[in-house]
Amino acid sequence: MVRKAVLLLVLAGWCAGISLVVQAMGIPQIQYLTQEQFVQQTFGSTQPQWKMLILDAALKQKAAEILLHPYPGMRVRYWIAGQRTAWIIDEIGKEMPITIGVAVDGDSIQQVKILVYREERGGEVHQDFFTRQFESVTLTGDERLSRSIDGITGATLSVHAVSRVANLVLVMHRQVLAKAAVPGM
Amino acid sequence: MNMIKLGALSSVLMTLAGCSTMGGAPDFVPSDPEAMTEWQVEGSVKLKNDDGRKEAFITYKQINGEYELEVRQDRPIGEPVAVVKGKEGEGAAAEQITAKNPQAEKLAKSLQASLPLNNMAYWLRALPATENAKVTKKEDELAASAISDDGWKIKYDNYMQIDRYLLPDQIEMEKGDTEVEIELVRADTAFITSPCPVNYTPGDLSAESVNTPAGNPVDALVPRDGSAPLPRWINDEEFCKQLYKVHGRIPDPRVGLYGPDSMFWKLSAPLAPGGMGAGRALLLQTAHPWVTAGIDEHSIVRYDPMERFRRTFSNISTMVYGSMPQVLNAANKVRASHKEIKGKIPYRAGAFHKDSAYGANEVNAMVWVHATLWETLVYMYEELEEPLTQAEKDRFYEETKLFAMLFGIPESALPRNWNEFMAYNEAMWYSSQLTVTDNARKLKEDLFTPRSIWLVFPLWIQEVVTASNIPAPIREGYQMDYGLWERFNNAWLMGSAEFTSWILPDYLGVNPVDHEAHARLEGKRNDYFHRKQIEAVMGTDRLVN
Repeated sequence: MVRKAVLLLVLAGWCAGISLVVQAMGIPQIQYLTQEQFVQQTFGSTQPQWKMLILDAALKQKAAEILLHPYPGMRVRYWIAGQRTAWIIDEIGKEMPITIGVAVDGDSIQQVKILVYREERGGEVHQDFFTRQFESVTLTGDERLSRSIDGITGATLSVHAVSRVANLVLVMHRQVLAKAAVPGM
Repeated sequence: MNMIKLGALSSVLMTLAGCSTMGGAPDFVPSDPEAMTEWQVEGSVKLKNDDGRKEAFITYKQINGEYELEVRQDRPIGEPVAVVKGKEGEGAAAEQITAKNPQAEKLAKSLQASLPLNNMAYWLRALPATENAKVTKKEDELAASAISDDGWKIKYDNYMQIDRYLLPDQIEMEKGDTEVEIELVRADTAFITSPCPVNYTPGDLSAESVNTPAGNPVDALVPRDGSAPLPRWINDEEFCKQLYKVHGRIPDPRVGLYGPDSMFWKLSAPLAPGGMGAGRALLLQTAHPWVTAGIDEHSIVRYDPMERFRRTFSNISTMVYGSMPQVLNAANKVRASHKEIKGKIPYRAGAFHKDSAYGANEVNAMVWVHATLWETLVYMYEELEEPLTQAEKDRFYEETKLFAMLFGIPESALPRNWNEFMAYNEAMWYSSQLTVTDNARKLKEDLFTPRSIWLVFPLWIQEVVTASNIPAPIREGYQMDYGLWERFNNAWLMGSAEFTSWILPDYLGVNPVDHEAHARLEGKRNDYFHRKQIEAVMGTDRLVN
């Protein structure tokens, strides 16, 4: 009984101590915006119902060309009101996914926001000086971004990840509007 | 006697209080489970409708739009008695059932008729299946608490953190007179069918690896003339090829790379050898100038050693104890994080010239990092637990080759047996490849400097035990004290560790990840205490369940 009591006492101290250390020292996964906040920023107080874009073979191929890997999923959810759409997509920078929100209005990007950053390094991509570069960017004839995006030293992979997602969203946005323009689709 | 009982009760309460302070990873924000293309969940289902009550153990699997429900009647693991297969978007009419007997077929048909299996692909991930779904999510919650979709009311009572996702583990569903309770125990979230990302190609698996040395592998790793070994970079194709080879050798994906009869699980189970050897293995690694340069330029170790420890050991533990999908997921994550670790050595360091290229995905450097882990584990196991026979060491060494292949190292590049492996280690200790640079010494100081009062004693133990057990040339390189005082302290610390390891019941003295892996093999969830132990150290309560 005494032995068990001593063991449990030691264990209690260990649990509490290590836990405090771990919690104090871990890198937080930084959530800058929730999904709801991003959608609200894009559309204002009247939040539209979300829709689904099913990825057909052609779109999957296009997504793979842009992302440099296949899009992981069969469908993409988005929000739409008129010519404006909002998309939230996870893309891995180096090791962990970055949750990226992209809003498009008409044919150009309205805003890019980093909702969650989980990597050890490269978190500067959430800052406005970087994300503002995407505003008003459109697609070129070969479906690439119309403006080259300046990189950030030490955040190259994160910069590429955000740029790829912005590019993909413009392509998907165009497809959504094209489908909406066809009666019965 | 009453005092003793009171003491015991107080201890229990303090334990609960202590463990209750243990939280998850700081601010864990799950990734979108929509992005899972191949995944499976396991658990049980209870179905109640006009036909009565039915219960079954299930595995629901979805791979690239095709889904499969495996049904088991009496136990959560083993061969299913029935399987229902379908394809997303084609509806229940196109689903196919195969069953072992009429009773199993009846059960499978009943489940198929009651559950919209097509939609389950989304609902089991707490995602809406249709555009008309209504999702309820409370403000402080990370995932849905309820979904109304396609006539069903689905309630999510609890979630489990699996890798970077949050998946429901208690689900209640209701439509008309049909009530369904689903309790999920575990999940795999990727790499079920292929060991590599789909855009990787393994090439010709029978072809000799480009990283196979021309002669004796040890001579290639430690050239006899004292020069640096020729770099052998591991490209994506070579990495993928080795994963395919490992994948092909594993008969049961649930067991993973090793299993309960392996030397790996035997040596990794007691906490003391790994715990007491951590500093030794680490300083042996950082004595390699490539490792120190990589840490200096690419790692968070210096300013956040605990987070780096957490990420590194969660990957290593998963590779040793995980199911095959979990093992391959960890291997691919490590590969991704190593990819960008490359640069030029900024100073001359032993055999390595100034401005010579270094990188994490290189055979010689990786073999050294592996060697430090497994040589240290065996050394400490023999010091603290029991001596190992030559046959056991040979067996363990054969098992480590599979682990090395998870990093893209071909078997042909490794020392061929345990004795050759030890000859390699000793050759490295005395070679100019291991050179403790000023940066490595500074790194050692950083690592052993406590940043919390809770770490003062553990880090002092690590420093003393490391100084006393690390090979002499490396100890001298780090300028570590090793006099009578250190020897005295080492003796009682190692003795105490050995005694503690002996006195502790397996429930407390065995690695909680080992407990978790055993639970997985039985199709169960790890128990509460071991889940909390894992959570306290790793930041997630599930690693290999």
